[in-house]
Amino acid sequence: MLMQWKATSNPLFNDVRVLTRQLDDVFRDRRPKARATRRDVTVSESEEAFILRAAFPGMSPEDLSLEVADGILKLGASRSADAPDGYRVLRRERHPLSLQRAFDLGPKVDVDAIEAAFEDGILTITLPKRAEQEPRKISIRAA
Amino acid sequence: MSEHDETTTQPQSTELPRVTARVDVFESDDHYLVRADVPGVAKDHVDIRFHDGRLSFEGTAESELIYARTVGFGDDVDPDAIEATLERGVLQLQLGKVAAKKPRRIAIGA
Repeated sequence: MLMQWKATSNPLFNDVRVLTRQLDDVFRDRRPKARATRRDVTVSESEEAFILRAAFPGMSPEDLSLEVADGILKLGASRSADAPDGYRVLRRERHPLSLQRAFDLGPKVDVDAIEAAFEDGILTITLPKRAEQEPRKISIRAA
Repeated sequence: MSEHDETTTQPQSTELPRVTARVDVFESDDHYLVRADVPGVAKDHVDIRFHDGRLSFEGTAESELIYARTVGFGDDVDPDAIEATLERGVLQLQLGKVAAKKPRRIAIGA
């Protein structure tokens, strides 16, 4: 389901790949198998940042919590799905959702610059990369 | 409707993956209520139709995929009494029942 990922040996990807797998696991259990192609979570990458997007339809920003401490990103969400007053249930496929998860961001993400936006039921978390450190060349002096 | 406008300008949009939208369906004495998860779908990218007792909708999410679903009802839906709202990725459709089909209390004369 991570259609934007290409096979690569770039170690930069490893951290977010782990992150993505964890997020994937969160949603996989709550989703009917027949609809496994649904893309609840995607990760993409630009030069400057990793972009993580997760679907939380029907939630308001107040239903979501996001915090970063010690390189750990904590995401919490809850949604109730009560029948409206005066209605009885004919079909129920949308599930109440409540989750609390933590993700290790690894060393590549600039945690001070993380931003999040919520629009049309989709949470977009922007995880900017730290400036790359140039490998330092050490010259060997002749004795 | 906007779906078709977009198709003319972006032929590749017809190739978007289609996903079955999850729905809750409720019923009251006067209405049916359908709620569908369509995260990423904006108001002007939804196409809703009602024909022969079947409610169908398609919503395009950020030019990436299409949420679609058809829900069948009995013959008690008034096609002129269907209202739709879209908020935070949830499409809500309220379908009024035909007045004559409502349960009617019949008084027993003395």
